[in-house]
Amino acid sequence: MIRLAVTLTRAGGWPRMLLLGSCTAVVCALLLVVVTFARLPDSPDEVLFELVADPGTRGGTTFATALLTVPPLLLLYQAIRLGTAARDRRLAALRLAGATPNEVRRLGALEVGIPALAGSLAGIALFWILRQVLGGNTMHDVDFRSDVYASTLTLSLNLLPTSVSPQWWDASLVVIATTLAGVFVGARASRGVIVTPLGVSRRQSSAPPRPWGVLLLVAAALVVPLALAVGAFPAAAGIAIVGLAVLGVVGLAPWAAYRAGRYAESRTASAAVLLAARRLVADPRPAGRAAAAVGAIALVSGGGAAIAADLLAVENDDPFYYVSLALVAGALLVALLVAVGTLAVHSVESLLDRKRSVASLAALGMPLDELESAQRWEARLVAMPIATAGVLLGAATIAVLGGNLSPVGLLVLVADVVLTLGLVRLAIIAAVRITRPWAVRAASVANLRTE
Amino acid sequence: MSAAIVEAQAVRKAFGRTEALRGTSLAVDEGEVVAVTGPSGSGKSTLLLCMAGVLRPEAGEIWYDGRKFHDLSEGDRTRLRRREFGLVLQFGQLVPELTGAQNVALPLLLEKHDRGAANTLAHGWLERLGALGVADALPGEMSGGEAQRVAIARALVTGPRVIFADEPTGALDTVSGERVLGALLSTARATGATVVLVTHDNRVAASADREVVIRDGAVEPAPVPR
Amino acid sequence: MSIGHVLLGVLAAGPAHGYDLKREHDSRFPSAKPLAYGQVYSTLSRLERDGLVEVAETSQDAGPERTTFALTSAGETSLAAWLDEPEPAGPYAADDLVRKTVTSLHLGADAGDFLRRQRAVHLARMRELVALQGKTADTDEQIAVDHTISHLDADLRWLDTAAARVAARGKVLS
Repeated sequence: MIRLAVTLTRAGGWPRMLLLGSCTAVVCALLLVVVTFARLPDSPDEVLFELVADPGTRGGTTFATALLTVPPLLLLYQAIRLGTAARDRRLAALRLAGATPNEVRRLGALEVGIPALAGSLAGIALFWILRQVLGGNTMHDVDFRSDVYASTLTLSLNLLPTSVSPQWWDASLVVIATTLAGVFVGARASRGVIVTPLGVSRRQSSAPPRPWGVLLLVAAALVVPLALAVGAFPAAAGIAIVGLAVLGVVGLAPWAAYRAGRYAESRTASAAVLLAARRLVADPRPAGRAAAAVGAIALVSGGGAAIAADLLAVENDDPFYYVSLALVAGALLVALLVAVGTLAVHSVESLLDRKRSVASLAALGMPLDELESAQRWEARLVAMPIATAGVLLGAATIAVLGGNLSPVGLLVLVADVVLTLGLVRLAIIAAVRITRPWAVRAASVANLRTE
Repeated sequence: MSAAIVEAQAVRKAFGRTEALRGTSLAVDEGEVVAVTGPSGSGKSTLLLCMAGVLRPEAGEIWYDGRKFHDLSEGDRTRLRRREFGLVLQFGQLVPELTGAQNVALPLLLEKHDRGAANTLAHGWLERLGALGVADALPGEMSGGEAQRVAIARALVTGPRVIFADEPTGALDTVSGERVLGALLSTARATGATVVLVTHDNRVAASADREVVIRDGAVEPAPVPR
Repeated sequence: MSIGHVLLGVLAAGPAHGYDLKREHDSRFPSAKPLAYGQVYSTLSRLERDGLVEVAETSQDAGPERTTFALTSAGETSLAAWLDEPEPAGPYAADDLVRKTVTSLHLGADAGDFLRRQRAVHLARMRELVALQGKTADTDEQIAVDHTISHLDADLRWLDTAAARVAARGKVLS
């Protein structure tokens, strides 16, 4: 059984396996960081960056780190769905050869599980590397009397505690959890596929998606008056708001994709836009998920800009805050790169699933440029509205909460909105450009041959 | 080269190590309906795609309307194809996400026509081919015959001078195939368009003005009259 | 013999002259060889001898074409019995086409050209019939022509197969 699963995994192709493994590696490493933060006592035994050292902010930092696992998980989902059509055909062929549905399900799980496990184990190595690079220094390495001490406390990159380490059973738990997460995501990706011996039929989920995400956003908004009513405004409330808001945006994405498609299809005279719009209407969920990462990033970007504006208004010169914001910006850029990844993966998936019709479009007289334009529009129609809504929502919420808004602060907010949207546009262009080889291959006339 | 509207001269085309066409020549006059027949793997589809400018031959020349066609740039060929040719293929030719009418209107939208006008033309052609009922349906909801009629409407909507059809009735039974072919040929004859048909069906071949047999990548010589 | 039964079928509509019978047969089977008068009358006399048909009336200048024939009750029974029984599926091996093709292939020389010529002839005939079918809206006629077309198609495909087998094994059969 294992050997068969390994053969199947290899049949899926090296790039897909590497992508799967990388995602689980990153998730595993991040979770190990979270574990390390959790194991830190209230007064740590080493010099650490204040966000981590101070138990007040540590909760938020831990949560943020946990949130950082969302983009790689989304990318993992995309990676598993890549080449789904071929994978479904493989599984159907197995059924035809005599495998029972349970056996096929088990094989499917193994096919995803093996790269996921390998990735998780690699994640341990990644975590170790991160510790070497970003690790804190223990107390006896620092000269308390030096003038450098004070600035070192806030400006050093001592992000990861080295005085505490995850225990072997912590690590095992994380590895198992990550692998299981991969398998679970793989199982969900195969959901709705009826693999019978006669072939594969995907259960047509023709019902358009509903805007359930709005409920989560409403819940996030309600946390504010609740917290105020209770009295204090602890970090827990902030975490709740961010968490709910992100989940809300992610949940709304498929609905947004569908509505964007419907809006555009009846208003356009461009073949590329029509194609993109109809693709969104026909299958909004994958496109929505790909753009969801972008939305979440935009949300955090808007909120961060609002905090920066607030700080400017208060004229708080403590470098601590600005460095923290810089860190957040850095994390956002990294997350944006991951988002480019999800958009690119979705673009490739879209092309692979439609090889024959892309080839006949090319034969009909649709040049490669227009086909790529359709790919870009498919991403843009969803990602731009979501990103705009996200960044404005994030900025508005924090601005309302903070209350202090100077002209300079407003400028910062506007600049952030423009910058975020510009980066998203660039990300889309980059993602589609990366997938050009697949577009060329899909448009090849060889896909038309029936002889 | 006199009245020939599209002509292939000594065309060679290989896929990897397999030579699909070994110096094939075919001249089609304007307004003719020519059937290209032969056993499977003989290269007839390849010849059609070369003449339609979809495939680029390794050697030989393709002429269209007295102009050299084969050495135009990819962009120029695409635009020419879009405007002057109609292409009907056997499978997988309709875009699954677009409705019947949107599929038919697509070549017009690519030519930057006005949306309303494109829509009207599309519905007109669907009606002429008796497929108006599936104007708002998706290809997945259509029968084989309906899908084929939509594909033919799409090929005809730009008013092409030459229609290239590869097994247009391949997936259909006799009666549906007859209806589809009838629609294609009657429109072509009415507008004076040229039709090049690839088929393995003798009935379809008998509907054409003349037959050209391809065997092993070359045109079979015409029978010597006794 | 089938021609006899066809004539019985025509007479079932009412008595008719020999000439009418020939005309009706040709109209029902436009793609078949037109019936010769001689064959009509020899068939009619056989049918009369067998008691399936009788002379209804003879006009003054009695010539065969003026004689009106009518169906007898025995004729009705015979017709019904013939229609009840389905046609056997074959064999067609005794066909002239097959005799000619096989002989030609045995001789070896220029078999390819013979096959091409035969195909051209069959296809030309099919072209005529397809055009004929296109001109008529009468479903019954279309059905009758379909039968001939299908058989021509079968012969054409058989010729193709023969050509392929010959190409695969070399030009000479034995």
